[in-house]
Amino acid sequence: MTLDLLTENEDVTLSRLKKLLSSKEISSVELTKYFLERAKSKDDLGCFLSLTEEEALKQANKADEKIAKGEDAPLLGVPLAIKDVLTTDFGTTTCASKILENYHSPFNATVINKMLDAGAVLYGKTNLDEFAMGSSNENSSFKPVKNPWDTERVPGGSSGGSAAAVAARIAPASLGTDTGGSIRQPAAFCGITGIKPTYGRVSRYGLVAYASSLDQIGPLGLSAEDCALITRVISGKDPLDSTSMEMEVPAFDTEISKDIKGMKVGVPKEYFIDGMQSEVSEALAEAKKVLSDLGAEIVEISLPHTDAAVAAYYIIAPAECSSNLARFDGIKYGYRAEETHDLFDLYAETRSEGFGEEVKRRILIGTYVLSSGYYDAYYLKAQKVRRLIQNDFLQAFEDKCDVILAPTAPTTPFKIGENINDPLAMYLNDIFTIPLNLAGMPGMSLPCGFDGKNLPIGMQLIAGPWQEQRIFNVAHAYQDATDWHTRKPEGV
Amino acid sequence: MSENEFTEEDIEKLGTLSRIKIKPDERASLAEDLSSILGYIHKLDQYDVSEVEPLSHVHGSTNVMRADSVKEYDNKEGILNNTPDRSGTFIKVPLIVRPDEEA
Amino acid sequence: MQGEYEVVIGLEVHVQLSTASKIFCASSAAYGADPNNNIDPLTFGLPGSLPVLNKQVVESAIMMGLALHCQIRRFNRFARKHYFYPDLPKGYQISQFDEPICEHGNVEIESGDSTRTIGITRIHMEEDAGKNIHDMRTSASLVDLNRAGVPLLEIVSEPDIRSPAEASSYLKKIRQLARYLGVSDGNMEEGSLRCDANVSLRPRGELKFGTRTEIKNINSFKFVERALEYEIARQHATLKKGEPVIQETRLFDSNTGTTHSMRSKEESADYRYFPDPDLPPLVVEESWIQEVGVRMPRLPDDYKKELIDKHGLSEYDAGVLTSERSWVDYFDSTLEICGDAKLACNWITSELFGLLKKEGKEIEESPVKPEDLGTLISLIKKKTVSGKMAKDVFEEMFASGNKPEAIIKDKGLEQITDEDAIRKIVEQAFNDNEAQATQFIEGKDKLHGFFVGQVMKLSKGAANPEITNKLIIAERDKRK
Repeated sequence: MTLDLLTENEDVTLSRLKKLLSSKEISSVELTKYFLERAKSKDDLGCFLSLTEEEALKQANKADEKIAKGEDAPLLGVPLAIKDVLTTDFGTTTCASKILENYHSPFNATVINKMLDAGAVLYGKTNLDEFAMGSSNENSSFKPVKNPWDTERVPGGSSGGSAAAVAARIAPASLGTDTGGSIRQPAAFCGITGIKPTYGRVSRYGLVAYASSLDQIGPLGLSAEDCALITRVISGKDPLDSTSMEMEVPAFDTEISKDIKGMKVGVPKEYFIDGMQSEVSEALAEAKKVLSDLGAEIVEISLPHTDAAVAAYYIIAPAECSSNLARFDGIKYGYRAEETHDLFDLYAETRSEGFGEEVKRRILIGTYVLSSGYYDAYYLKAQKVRRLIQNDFLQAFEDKCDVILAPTAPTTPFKIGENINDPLAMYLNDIFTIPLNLAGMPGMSLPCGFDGKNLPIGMQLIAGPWQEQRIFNVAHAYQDATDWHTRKPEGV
Repeated sequence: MSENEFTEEDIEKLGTLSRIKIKPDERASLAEDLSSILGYIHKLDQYDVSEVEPLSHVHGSTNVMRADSVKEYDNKEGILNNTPDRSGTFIKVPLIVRPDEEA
Repeated sequence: MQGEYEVVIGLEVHVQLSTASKIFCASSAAYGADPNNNIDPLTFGLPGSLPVLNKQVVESAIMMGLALHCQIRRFNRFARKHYFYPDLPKGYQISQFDEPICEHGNVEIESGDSTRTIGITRIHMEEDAGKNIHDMRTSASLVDLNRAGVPLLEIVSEPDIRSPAEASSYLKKIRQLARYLGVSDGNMEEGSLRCDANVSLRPRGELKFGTRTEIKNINSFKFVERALEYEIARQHATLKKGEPVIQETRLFDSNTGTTHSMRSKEESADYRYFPDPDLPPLVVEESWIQEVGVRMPRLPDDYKKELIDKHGLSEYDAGVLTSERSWVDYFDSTLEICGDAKLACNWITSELFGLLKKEGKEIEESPVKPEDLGTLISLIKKKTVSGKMAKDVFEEMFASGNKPEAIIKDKGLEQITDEDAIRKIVEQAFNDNEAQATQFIEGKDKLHGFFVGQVMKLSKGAANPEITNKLIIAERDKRK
């Protein structure tokens, strides 16, 4: 039997797959093979770094047994893809880096255990910018990822594989990580939905750290509803992560249908800048209208320190990166350079050969800003600016609005190679996503239109700390009223 | 290092400090990249933050601790299996020549 | 240093805490496991692993801070200290930088016949590194990470120490306090106590410090004074020649008793400290400090004062008993049973210590439990056993571990104090020796001793001498 789950009007949303599974119209093993087959046939997109077929089929079998016994779990039997920066005790965990090419983690990340406990089938590890550093997925040490909407263009990054896999329906949903926009910007570039929860909502244990004070794990999917379900599954305090917090986890998915009448939606004037693609601002203007028609009140707000965010980020993130990546030294695990004649050489050669260019660039910047005599001028100052940026958001949510509406990226996807030689231009791509990571706020990107080249445009919904429910409610109401999120790239 | 401009020597020094060997022909372009990034970073100079408390941990939680009890890890072999060079259960590395170690 | 120069020494002491688990993960912190046995993802610095702070480490730091009269910092953060070395698995050490948990303390030490106060600059918490072993034959080094992540307190003194003897006295005091508080076993041989010293000389009367050198690797009590004496003599000779002392780090070599410059081809250290984002700040409220303070055992100086003032022990005896917590604990338990501080002290410091020393045993290994010694002393006081016999009983207790009552009973060593019983023996002695009895009754008083001897002989030495005396006189008078 050849399955065809994708038709003009049907899509692989989690609610549909769960229905097919529980009604036994399809087994988890069949569904898993279906997505494995799709992944293999669309290998040229570069979405996956490894498929864990054997392990996945075992998990699927187990799920089928449970379904047969009438058991249920939030993701029972549903195949999902995970970014290869999350450790799994099966297969490899490479972070798309040569330095971890054959690394086998002895333990699962907490989110992986939570997904497995919820019955999910994890069948592959998705491609990314090396160690999650990049906005285009061109920094993968193994292969780039192509955007399913236009294969000459980037899918965004760093969760490019996770986003492109969902856009191409190679995965119904996936897990990504977001340090400066790495879930939201690729979600926007690939025309799907993705959320970065509040910092501390999801355990980082088993997330290979890039910048510990900014990193957060979140889902990418076809709708706010799908993202809400996965967010509920992966959230919660973890005794293994001291920065995860003891906060009640709402039933994001079952509470998703809520009237948004009277909800105040703030639109920050600083997020509409010169040089922004006009079709992006037009799409955002349309979105405002939709939300307003749904009864929301649109208010203009100001986040005055927005302009400082990228600069602060490119001090804090590289500083933490230079520290977090010091452990990759060829001594205990991972790649070790051969024929080095002393310890210094072993370190310097291993790290020179093992890391890619962008990673090295950030390690060098980070080393510089933390070095003696420069700490106050750079790192400390950036931490102070970070406070100002957080205060901007807290003030806005206290005084003016319940959620914030903003563009996700200033442009639609650019061409592969277009920005690769200009790191700064690449960094500025994240200008609208970075402030949330600095402030620890949750934010979602969801599709809100297409440009003249039929490339997706994303909009961002931002809420205060622990207020993800508001984002899900507004996004769901918006997706009920629009069909941008249901569009599929040609050939899918 | 001057305000905004990295020299090739600076790059070499940073490479030494961060244990990354940088080939001579990579130094110039790295110096250029870093200079332009650093130039951008100096945007922060326009903000007066003398009265602002730095923010190191975003949500203000404190005193996250565990009780002092031992739990033996159950997959030590899984850890040691990743070691590039082993001698028994030791990790093997090239001879470290530093005099503050007992021979 | 006699003569024109004054010696200035500051010590940095690393105290390894005797917690069950490591500072940031649940692996055992015990010494002596097989190589790379006490490991887990964090100990190996595996990608994705994260630290979680051990509460006991904080409380040990607070206790040590209170014992050294420090101010305890309310808002603490851990910082990462970066350097590359195979025994440092994460590429950074989690430590405290500009926000140490304890500051501005002091401690009183003995110096010759008097005492001096040494300032404590700071105490901070940090994790230990692993160990590298070098194998010259195979030109390889071997790394064991068991020790990586074991908790340490680094205690930094002010440059208030003025001689190698004072340095040794200071170190002993720190060790004594750590052992009293139970935060560390203070075992230098196993590396539980490690010491670096900053040393400089200055002309007497000069206020400015001279250029200092840092001596590393002083890992044994017996080497502290030797290392410092060597370094002081070296600096002295340098200055005498009119040459400057170079500020540098020098290593002590215990084989030669000398220090030598640590020439490193690596760049000077730049540790790139910054607050560890994985560890939320630690807030030590006053209430927590008080709670820890309540649980703290009494400190040796307080204890010593009490022994002198309340129990009337001599300064010397009190000093001996309080030098180790295990000793004073033993004394306490003994005293609780027998209620006689002086006797308890004498028995512990002479009889018990004598036998322990002979057998090469620590007090914790003593076959005689303090309760049993207490009982023995009570029996002496009740005259159940004579002081002289008690020594034999004690030796037997030490050899067999048996209770004193059992030994006394078994060997029939119990004194006879029953007057009727002794009277019968006295009567028998008079009856058996009629001639002497007659002379005694007629006034030959020196025969008293003869009858005591007879009674002891008949009772196999068990008759209570005082009662015996009394009853011999009574028997004489009765027969007059």
